[in-house]
Amino acid sequence: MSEEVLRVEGLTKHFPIRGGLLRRQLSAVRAVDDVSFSLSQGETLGLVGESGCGKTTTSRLVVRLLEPTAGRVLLRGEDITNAGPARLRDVRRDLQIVFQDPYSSLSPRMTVHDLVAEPLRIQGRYASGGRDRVSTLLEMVGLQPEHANRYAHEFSGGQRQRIGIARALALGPSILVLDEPVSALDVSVRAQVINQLEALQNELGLAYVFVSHDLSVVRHVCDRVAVMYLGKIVELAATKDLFARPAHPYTQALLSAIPIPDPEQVGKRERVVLTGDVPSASNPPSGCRFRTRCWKAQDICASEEPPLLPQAGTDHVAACHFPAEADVLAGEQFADAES
Amino acid sequence: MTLLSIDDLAVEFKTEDGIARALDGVTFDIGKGEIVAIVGESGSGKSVTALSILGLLRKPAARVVRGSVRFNGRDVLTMSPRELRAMRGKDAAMIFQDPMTALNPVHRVGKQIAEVVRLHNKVDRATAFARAVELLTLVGVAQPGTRARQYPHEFSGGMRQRAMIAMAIANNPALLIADEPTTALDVTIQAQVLELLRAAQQETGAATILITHDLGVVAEMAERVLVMYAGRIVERADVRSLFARPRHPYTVGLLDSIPRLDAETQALKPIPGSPPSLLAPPPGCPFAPRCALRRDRSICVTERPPLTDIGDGRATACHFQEELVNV
Amino acid sequence: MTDAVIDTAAAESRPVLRSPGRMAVRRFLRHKLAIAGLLVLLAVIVVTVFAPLLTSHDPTRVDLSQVRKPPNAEHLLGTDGSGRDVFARLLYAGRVSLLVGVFSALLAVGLGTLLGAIAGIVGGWVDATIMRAADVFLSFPVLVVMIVIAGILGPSVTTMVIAIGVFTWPGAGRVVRGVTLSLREREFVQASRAFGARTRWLIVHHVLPAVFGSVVVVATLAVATGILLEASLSFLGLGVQPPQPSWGNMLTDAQRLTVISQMPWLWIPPGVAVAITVLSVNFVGDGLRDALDPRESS
Repeated sequence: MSEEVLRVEGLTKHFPIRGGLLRRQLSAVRAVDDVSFSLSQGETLGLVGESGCGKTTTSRLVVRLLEPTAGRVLLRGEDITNAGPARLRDVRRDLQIVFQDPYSSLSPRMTVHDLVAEPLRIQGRYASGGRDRVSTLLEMVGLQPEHANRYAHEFSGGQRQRIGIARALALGPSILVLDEPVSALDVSVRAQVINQLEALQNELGLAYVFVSHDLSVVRHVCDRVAVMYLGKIVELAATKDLFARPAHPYTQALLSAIPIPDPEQVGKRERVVLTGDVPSASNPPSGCRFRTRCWKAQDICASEEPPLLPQAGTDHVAACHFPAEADVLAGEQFADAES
Repeated sequence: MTLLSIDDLAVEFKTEDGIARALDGVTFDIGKGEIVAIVGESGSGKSVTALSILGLLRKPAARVVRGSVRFNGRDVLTMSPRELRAMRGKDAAMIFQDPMTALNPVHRVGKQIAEVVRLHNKVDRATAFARAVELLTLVGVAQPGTRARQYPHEFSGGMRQRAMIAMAIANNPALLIADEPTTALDVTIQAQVLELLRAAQQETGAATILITHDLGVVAEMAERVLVMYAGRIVERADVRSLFARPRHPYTVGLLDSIPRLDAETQALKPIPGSPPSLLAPPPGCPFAPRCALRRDRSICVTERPPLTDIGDGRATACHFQEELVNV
Repeated sequence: MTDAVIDTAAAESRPVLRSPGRMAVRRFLRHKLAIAGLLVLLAVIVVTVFAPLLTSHDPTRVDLSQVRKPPNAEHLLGTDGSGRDVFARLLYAGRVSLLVGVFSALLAVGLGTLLGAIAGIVGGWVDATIMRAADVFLSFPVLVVMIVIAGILGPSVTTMVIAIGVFTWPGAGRVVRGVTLSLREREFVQASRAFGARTRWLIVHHVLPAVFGSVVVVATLAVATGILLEASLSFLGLGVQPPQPSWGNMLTDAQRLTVISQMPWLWIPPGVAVAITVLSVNFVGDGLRDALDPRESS
């Protein structure tokens, strides 16, 4: 297999909730809890989940925009969790992030040229050949270098996202963390940016951590997928396996709930509509965090937190006491209770 | 029976950069009890259409250039503010995309629902509040009595949307307009809310206009579909035909460009370019710059294709739509 | 590489470069009062700067034969209690007032921006300390404090500038801190941090351009405050000392009823001068606020 470029072990982030006169810590929002995964050269790993699952926080932890409460981040085998400012500067040349919102992630006061050049200037790499590099980067993402002296707000959402990608590539990273890169874009524009990302990956040998709530996009783009719920990874598998034979009830519920753009398919899948809302991350359920909405929940689910265990194939892991693989998308029954 | 009939509606907005043509001649009918989806992206005019049905376009920024919106036979655009108020919430109701901004944060949820009831019925506060609790039960909010006394910020996103639906169906309207009702929600919550909408529709027999950009939601919910682009309707069809045999290049492009949950990975075929600016609509077809079917034929940029019937209740606005028959 | 035809027509169709600067100028020019204020202010500045060209009289020259004469051909606005030409005094006094106003504003805003930006970016106890200091400064009634300082250090233009500047910095400080705080969480600042930007870079390249608009507005209004404070202090005899003229000390005479009722040329000109200068500065400030409002981002 390819070389492992990124590994995350037991990554945890608790945000303290303070209160009272002396602002003591009352409790904590357990946004990310004991998350582990690895990424190989040229691979795309998807992090999926709904709001509050911790995927965005995880993405910030990986690039150290947030400091983890616990856990380690290893870049090509080297532990960078506590890297000092100097080492971190070098790390940032190799590991970059593209943000979700192409409107708020680009400063309204800088020209496109300045935006893409900023990383180079910060790292002192603009003086020699910086200008040319910016032009090259813009071309690489399908924009015309002649427009570099315009302001970002003069471009469309899809173009702005490309500017964000060009900027992230400025320092020549080999790993990109993409936080919902197409969610804020129009439907007809998403495919352009997705194709662009794939082309860049092939051309530059990039590895991606692709964070998204849109399983359809993830299915198309990713090699492996990790499903998150309330701060934990509940299932991790190769894309094909996850979509063909999901084992964790949450994954199954997700796959059964997502509307498919084909009227002929309506009614074919078993529909499990999860009841209730996502519990609060500051007070997650004991044991398995999903148990409050799970139709299979038993006593053990409340008392013991299920570890991520391999399913049939060793690369497919799920955190459930009663996992049961089922081809949800093809209509295989997986829940005893109907909606 | 036609409930709503929009005829050649055109709306302009005054912006800093000039006049934007938000709607450029929109015509369609909605029959009693049917579920119609309006699909489009930003700038397509779908939300403006919804707002104009309820007379919610803000003058003087928005100006109706021409056209009529006949609801139950009467033209909404010529109604007095009083008549409009009587209509909204009673005969026609709207469910907005972002429940947080649509609900007043300083009033209790129950009170807000009760207010809608009292606006159109002569009942006292207690009765109205009781009805509010009843409605909350109907929309699946647990412990409705307690919840009715809470404020919107104490509700989750899904619950707020349920509260909005409760407000919308409170007076059994004949027409429900849902503007991207689930876009801001998580997938599992979206499934709940869509199911609720379907139930509400069945229960009240209301015609529903579902505005969305999500083709999956369209496939699940709609009977008929209107595809909008740059302020115009470009295709009209029943839902099965639209997906199986699209007859407009934009629809074809959309369907080809969306990643599918159920299909094996194929290369996505994006639609090149971006949605056009509404400031200076070109004379021809608005989709021409991005159209794969055009093949440099000049009629597409000189002459605007009218929305033409092509049989079976379908219509499309394309000069060369026959070429799509075997696609 | 990519099969998508990138349509930059949207960017191409705009003939004018829509830089934030030009858009701000456009917005300012829509504000008629602001333009009027700007013109008046420019007139005041020109008149005071070119005072020697507009009058041949020495504003400090005492002529006891011409005490309290009403306006005549020789003295356009009459003379004051020591026979000095009022018109000349009015013009030269403008210099002092504008000087004090501008320099105290610069000091206040410079200090406030620096402290506010640091408080906003660094946060924590640094922020808390700076903000508590601001509260302390704000809780002092400025005029009283300056009377005390003038009493201790002796009245002079320099003392006034420093005193006013040091006691009005919290105005700018709070504004800058507010903008910085909201900026800190904006994604494009996060992006810069992701490239390895450190605090100094963030302040110079993101905070300062972002607060520029607000700071200009605060500065303009600080000038107005400075002018008023100077006039007040000088009026009380604690600011600019005669024979040097100041609009404030020209008004000192007007504490006597006979002067007020019978010698309007002594107090109307300086009073009007202060009023229209401060008013035009305020109008310009309003216009600038609309033009540069940082909420207008894209």
